[in-house]
Amino acid sequence: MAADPLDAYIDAVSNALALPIEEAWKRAVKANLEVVAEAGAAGG
Amino acid sequence: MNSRCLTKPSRPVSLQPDTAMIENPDDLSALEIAQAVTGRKMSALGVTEAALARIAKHDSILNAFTDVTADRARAKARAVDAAVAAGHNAGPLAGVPFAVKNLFDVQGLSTRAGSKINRDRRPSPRDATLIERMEAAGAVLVGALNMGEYAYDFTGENVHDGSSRNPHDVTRMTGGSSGGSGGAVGGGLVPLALGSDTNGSIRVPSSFCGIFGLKPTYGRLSRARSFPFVASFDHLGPFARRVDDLALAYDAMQGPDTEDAACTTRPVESVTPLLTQDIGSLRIAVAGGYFQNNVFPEASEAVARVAEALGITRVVEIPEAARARAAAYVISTTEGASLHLDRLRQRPDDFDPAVRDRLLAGAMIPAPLVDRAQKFRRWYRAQVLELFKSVDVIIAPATPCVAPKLGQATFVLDGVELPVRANIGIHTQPISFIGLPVVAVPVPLEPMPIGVQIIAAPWREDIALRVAYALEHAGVVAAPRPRGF
Repeated sequence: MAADPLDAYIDAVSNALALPIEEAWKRAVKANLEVVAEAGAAGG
Repeated sequence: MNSRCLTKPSRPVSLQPDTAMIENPDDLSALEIAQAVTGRKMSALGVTEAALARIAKHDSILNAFTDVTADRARAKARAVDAAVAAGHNAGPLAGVPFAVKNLFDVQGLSTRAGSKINRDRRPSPRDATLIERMEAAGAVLVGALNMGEYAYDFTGENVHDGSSRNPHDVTRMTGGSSGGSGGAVGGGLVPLALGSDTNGSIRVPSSFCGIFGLKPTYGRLSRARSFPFVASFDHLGPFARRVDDLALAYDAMQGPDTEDAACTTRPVESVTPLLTQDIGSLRIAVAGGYFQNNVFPEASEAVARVAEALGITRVVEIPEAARARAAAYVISTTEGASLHLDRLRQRPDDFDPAVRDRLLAGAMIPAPLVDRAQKFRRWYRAQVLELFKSVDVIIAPATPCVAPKLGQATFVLDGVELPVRANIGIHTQPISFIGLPVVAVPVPLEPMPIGVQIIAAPWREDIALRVAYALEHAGVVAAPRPRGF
């Protein structure tokens, strides 16, 4: 089980959307998610 | 001095009235080619063979083309020559070679959109609307061009087809995502190319490759039968090495199209006859704040040269441009993810990993953030339209820097190390986000050129092109062929 809330979020959403995310990709996906979320906070 | 007096009579665009055949079309503009072909000083087939020879000679270095449609081009050129011989009007682009970013449908080719996945699509049964319109005007399609995967790119690098290379320095990026379009026109392989611009993908390669590019008003040119990225701000437009060529191509492609729901029903508003109109009465300002920060010295120098030539003393603030860029980022990644969701599920290993990981992140963004970005967009558009009540043209950098080295991952901007890939478009995104028309003009700095955006109010491409034309004829902006090409 993921200890970091964002890791847990990625696991949950990828399961819900049936997106196959390999372990090796998670770091980059998480980094991108953080950037987009930051942009979302700034651009709203 | 108000150098708006730089508006001079147009350069002599007509060919000399001699009857000698022109043997080498390599240095001719699109307009000069069309005049030579219709004047029977040159055959369309000869022009086409010369373009194919240039591609054969230089494309192994530039990697601009992914497909060369030689047989089709020769057939079209022969048809143009036959029309001329029969005394028919062969069109304003008679015999002019052009090429298109490979997200345009080309009959008989799979529309790859820079991807590996799309190569499995069946060949397109019909050309994109804009190709049909260019060919109806007499132009000759010679091929399809390299691009960043699914247009989600500012670099011109492509893991499947290899990077397109900058003709001014082949160790540098062309910019993207219309990288092949920038390289092909910048290197003189073709006088005209078409590309797409969602967040800057026409203006960035124009800047890095030292050529002119037009991103029209959102909805002005049909996108029918092209592969999308972010439908709510995807635009198509032309690249050229002269402003009158840009205008000729743009005029040929205008007009309603029921096959693109966003395409305007406005009638064709030709700009070519307006290029030489005086610009002295135009209210022109430089964009301040966000657009004066976040730049390398060469970008500031380019804007300063243009501003000085135009006699600009006024600075205007485009309100909340940083938020606009952020909102554009959110909408791009989420709309892009929505478009590619099935491909992400079924063929994730066949994406460029960098593109895939951004799209996967986009698929996970909560809807309230997207909704806020869309609401902000409406507010921002209203604010900028209000600004255009007091100004006709706004000048801004096209890119923060000249073309970075291929593979360069970061640059240091205002003391902060930032990823290149994500930040090349910081000055273009706030503009395309609300669909404003922009002409990117090349300032020929040494050793590398860099572009400046000439931004106008919606549907006023004519104004932006007139300013670009005046600057070109004053010698402030230009797109000379690089050494070796």
